[in-house]
Amino acid sequence: MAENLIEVKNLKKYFDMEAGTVKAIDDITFTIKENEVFGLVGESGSGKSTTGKVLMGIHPPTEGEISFREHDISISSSGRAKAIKRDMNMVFQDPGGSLNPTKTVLDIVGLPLRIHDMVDGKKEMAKEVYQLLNTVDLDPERFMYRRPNDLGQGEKQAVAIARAIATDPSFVVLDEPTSALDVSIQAKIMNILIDLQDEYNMSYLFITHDLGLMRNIADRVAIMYLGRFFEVADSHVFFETPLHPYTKVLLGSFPTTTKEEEKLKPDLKARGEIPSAMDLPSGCRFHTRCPFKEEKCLETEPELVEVQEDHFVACHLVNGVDDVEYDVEEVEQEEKEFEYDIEGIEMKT
Amino acid sequence: MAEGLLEIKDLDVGYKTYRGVTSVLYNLNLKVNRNETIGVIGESGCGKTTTMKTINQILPDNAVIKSGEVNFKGKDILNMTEKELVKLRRRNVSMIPQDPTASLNPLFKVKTQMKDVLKYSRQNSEDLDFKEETIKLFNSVALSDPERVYDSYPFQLSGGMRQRVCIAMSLAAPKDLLIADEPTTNLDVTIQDQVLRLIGEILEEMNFSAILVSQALGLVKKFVDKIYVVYGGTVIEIADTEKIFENPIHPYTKGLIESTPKLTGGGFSSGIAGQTPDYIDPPSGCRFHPRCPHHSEDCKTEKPKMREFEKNHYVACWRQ
Repeated sequence: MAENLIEVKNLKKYFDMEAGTVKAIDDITFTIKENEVFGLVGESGSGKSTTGKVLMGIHPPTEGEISFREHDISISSSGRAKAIKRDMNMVFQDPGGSLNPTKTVLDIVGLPLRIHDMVDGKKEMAKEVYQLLNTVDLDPERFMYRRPNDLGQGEKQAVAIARAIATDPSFVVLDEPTSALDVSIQAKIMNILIDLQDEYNMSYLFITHDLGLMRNIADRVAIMYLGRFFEVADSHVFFETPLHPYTKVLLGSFPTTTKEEEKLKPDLKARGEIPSAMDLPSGCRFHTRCPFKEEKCLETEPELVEVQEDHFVACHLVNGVDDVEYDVEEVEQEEKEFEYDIEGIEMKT
Repeated sequence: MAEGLLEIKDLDVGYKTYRGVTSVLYNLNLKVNRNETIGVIGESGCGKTTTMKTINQILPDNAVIKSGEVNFKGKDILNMTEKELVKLRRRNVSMIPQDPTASLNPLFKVKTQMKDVLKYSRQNSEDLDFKEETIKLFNSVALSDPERVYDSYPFQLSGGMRQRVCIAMSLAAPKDLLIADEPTTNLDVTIQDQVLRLIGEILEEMNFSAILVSQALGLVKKFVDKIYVVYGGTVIEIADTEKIFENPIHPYTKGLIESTPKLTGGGFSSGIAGQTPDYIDPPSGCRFHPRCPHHSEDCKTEKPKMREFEKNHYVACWRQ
């Protein structure tokens, strides 16, 4: 059994706004093991980025505990020990916005090394940066003295990754690191990330909305909706035998390219949109979009329970794999009633 | 032989920049028949949007159309007068925009904007009951609570609802051609799926001709008859939708399909090396050659011609 690197207990993060309180994270509990890629997937507004930021200490948590190798880090980054800060890092979504445009690649990647006193003098720093750029597949001779404006999107993200691994951390938060990139460049960056994780024995918290990406990198996946986890399972279980209706809806919406993938897709269509985190629905927060909802879903919030070994689901209707209590035919009937009324307009061609 | 509706011939378009005039579109050829839906696929900066804007003549001021023809129903759009263009946009070609937030006016209520669209695009619009027509259109795009939407400002609606309003606008009057320029890039996957399904149903129901533009091959797959793959401002492969996935020929198309992460797992391909070309000084010959793993001397000197590889499958590559 691998040891736990990060333990999160009953974490909550609320933001007080003029119009009310936004419950960005509403009671989540999870662990990330050593050498594990833990995936967090969800739509925008589900709280997945906030989770990453709270772990990094960018926002202090409202309630709950976070521990890193048994040290309590439930505080914002400024209060954390320097040694712990060195051990955790983050790669942001927008590679352009997270690099200082006035600095050279050498300065950008070298900064964490200087802050943590890991190098002695400029010469040594340049030597370290040279090696770091090599590990992310950037030719140091060509890139070391360039500035972010002279780099392509993929190259910028590679620089951001080099910076994140500069201090040899054991944990990196990757917040949609490839969503600003084209697919052909995305593949290259993902390969770099996978190789690095392997080589340096790091753990990742990988945040994305793209299930295809998730399938290919994560060991374990959690799906998040309005600040809560709905399903947590090993990657292959999550994709092959999903149980929560929301997981199925999300998988069913994924645009596929091959026939094999088509077979994996549950035949469940999405409807409606994510409600506001300021005004959460009663009971199960997914009930407004759930095709299977029952009386009890409107009243009580389901807890995350272990339905199988290492497979957690928060749904009143799922009590075990053989005991999925919903009736597909009935749902299809409902779907029909929901169909678009196109005959409403007369068209002349 | 199917009847042609839109035919773009050897179109060259560039933009004036402080570094000089770019050459974005480069001998681009494209054809849409009546009742045919085509997909235009390519990565950012390949000229997809420029092409669509040329069709509707809504290019920005610094654009330069260097040569080529855009024939719509046998008439060259590039030679049309402003009056004819206005008629074209109102009556013949409608566009679903990429960013619904930017294309709805934030200062006017949805009802005012819908009224304008109906007033100018429908014939005999004086006798119309605008509210009734608008609600009818809103129902057809499955907008929940159409009455509320009717009386709202755009900022009071969610992204998915705004896009549905834009789709309703594009359906306001009978059109010959519907252009959907990445209609779902700013939406979440679940909303994206709903919007695309809606567009798909509309296409099926109405016998439109349509062009669906997208970055991702998987997205348009279900809705289009034919796929055009665009790279560096020129079409590099044309095939029926199934064919493209079963048997991609051009190295770029292959790379694109392989790079798309699959739900079935299996890791990542190595992607495609390099970056999209710089349009001030684009690569000579085949514009893909600097990134192509198979390029030879021929590729550097001359642009490959579109050749029929098998029936209804065309490729522009020297290696085939």
